Amino acid sequence: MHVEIYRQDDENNSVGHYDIFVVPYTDEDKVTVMDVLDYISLHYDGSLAYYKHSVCDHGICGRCGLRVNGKAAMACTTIAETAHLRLDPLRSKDVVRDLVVVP
Amino acid sequence: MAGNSELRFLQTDVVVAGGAGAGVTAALAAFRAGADVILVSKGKVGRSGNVVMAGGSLSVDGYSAKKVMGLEADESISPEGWFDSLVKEGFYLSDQPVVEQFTSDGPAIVKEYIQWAQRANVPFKQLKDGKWVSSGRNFALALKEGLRDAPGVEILEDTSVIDVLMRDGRPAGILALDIYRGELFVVLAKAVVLGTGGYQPFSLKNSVTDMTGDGVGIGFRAGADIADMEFLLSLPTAVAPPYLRGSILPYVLIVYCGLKGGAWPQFRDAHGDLIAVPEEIMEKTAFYKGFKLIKLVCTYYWGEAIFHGRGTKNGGIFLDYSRYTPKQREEAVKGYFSVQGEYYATNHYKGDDISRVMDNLRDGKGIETGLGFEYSCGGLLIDEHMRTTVPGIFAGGETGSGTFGAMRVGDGLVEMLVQGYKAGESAAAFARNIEPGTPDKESTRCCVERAYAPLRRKTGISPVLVQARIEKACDAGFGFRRTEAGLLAALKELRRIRTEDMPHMAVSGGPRYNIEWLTALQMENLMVCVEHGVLAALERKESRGNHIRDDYPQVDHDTWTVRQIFTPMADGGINMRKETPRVTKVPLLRGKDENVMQFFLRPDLDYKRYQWG
Repeated sequence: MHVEIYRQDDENNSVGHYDIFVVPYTDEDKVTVMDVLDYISLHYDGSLAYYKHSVCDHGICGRCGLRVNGKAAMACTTIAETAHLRLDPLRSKDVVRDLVVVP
Repeated sequence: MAGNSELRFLQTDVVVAGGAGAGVTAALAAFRAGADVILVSKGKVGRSGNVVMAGGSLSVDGYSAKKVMGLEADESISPEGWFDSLVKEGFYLSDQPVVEQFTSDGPAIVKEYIQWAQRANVPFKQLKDGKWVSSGRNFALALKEGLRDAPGVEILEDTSVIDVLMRDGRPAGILALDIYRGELFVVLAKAVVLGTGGYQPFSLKNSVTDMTGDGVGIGFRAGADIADMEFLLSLPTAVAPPYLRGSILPYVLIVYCGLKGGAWPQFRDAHGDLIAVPEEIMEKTAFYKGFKLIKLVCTYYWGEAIFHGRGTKNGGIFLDYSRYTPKQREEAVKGYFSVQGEYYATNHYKGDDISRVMDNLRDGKGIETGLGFEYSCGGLLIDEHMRTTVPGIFAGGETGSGTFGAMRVGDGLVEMLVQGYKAGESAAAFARNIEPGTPDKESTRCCVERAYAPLRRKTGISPVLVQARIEKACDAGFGFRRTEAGLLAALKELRRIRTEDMPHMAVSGGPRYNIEWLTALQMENLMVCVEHGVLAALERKESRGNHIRDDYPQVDHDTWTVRQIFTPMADGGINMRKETPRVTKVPLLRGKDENVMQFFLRPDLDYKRYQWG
């Protein structure tokens, strides 16, 4: 699975870009977007920022919002089912870092 | 602030760490007692803490339900009966004055909590007498409503407490991290309440993902004793498919398909062979009032099978409903949804789509299930006033210890409410007699340095990897079945991680929303918990409650009805002592039992669960 992720560092007015990661999952695996992000964080790039503090991981707290292939979704309950996954921060608020927006 | 002029600071009487049950009730009680209060929560109040993960229910005894809450209830189910079952379910390790506080103060705060739920218009369903069922989200929303009764409390969310700052052996405030801004700051306070939950060092858990024993680690670093660290509660938890991993759905299925749908699963190993549970055990424990002992039944029998190589590659077993007809299985599914369908979207449990699992159940296919961890019985040593061993530091809920002894069967939700409230009252009273002061320069400098160290270290080991290594070590040797060899291997690896990996934890990127940084700080707390937990488990050469030794299966009341307590040492050394639990009402047992299940069958136990199935 190819995962394209929006990156923006935490300096003010910084310009974003995309990083591409290849993760060993297929659409058959039924992993969530959160699982994909955890895999990248552990194996490739721990500096990746996505909502990850006080996480319920089962669609209860509703705080891990992001855009998956353009659509707003929760990372923890959205199943990664496409060979190419594009992840962006939500549009409605300012970006703090990478996929994280102001609370 | 002298010596740390770069840090901004706030000032209050009582600072409360934790934004769920214990934290909210502590803040409310301290506010009502006239204190200035600041509440610091890692997540958002109403959306964070283990309360959102609850299954769940809470209950009080029948007598109190009638006399305190004014409900139609069976008053023959007395507070004494409630007390008795809590002590026995905890295998006699409970601190009985703490249990006394739980049963005597519980009904009043539960009554208030039910009113908050009504006010917030979230459904709590009263099942029978003094028992309520709802969802974790609803439980948390009711707490948020309760906090509205304390309008003067300043709430700092998405903020993690890092350390208690001391002066002359007493707290003078806390150091905290604003997670989004990436800023350390200080809250000066005369008293501190720690209500941040427990610790979960395993990869399969059904708590929130970063239940890293923050309050326990913070309290221990400030000089407070910790106890009962070897006891961690596990229960049936999904291992597959990946999107359900960590869900307590299997446990909820077992209970409600059985209770409401009349179908109980058989348990089968990876090869399809039956995992036998003796009939007498099922009748007298699993099916006994309230079905609460089913967690231990599954942990004991599944754990034995999985530990001895009969588990699936995901470390699970299968729930098998195939002995029922398709019509009966449909009834079972309906029974489940008759209770659980009320709180979630169609075919969902919490936010997870469970259509496929329910189809498998209807088709009589096996449902793969493992043992995930939910709750840590141990934590800071507290008394019935929620005082830790450091004057001015108080703890309540899962951060403390002593309520549930060696195993929690009773309600964690009641524990957080009743102990949080007491901790808030005690903290406010303590603060009343204290003049404000500034923390010792040296202790503050040390805490600040320690907090910044991983952020300043730009090359080294990712804290995310450190957490994965801790979990791997604990999965292998500290889980639901333990042996000398397994525990020794876990301890060796944990000490290697502490001495070789953790001093080199490094963080990339800047401070704002830096999860590696937060994780690095959390790992310091988790390591305090796991290292002492494994040491206590190694030392305890018997089985008791949630501590099940494959090499020492007996429950040995003569030798081991003791709590193991650790006192922090300035040189980092280990100081452990054993103490007989304080007894007020229920005398301790003598003799031995063959194993933790047989304990519940001994005739002189006279075990009568207060709750009515």
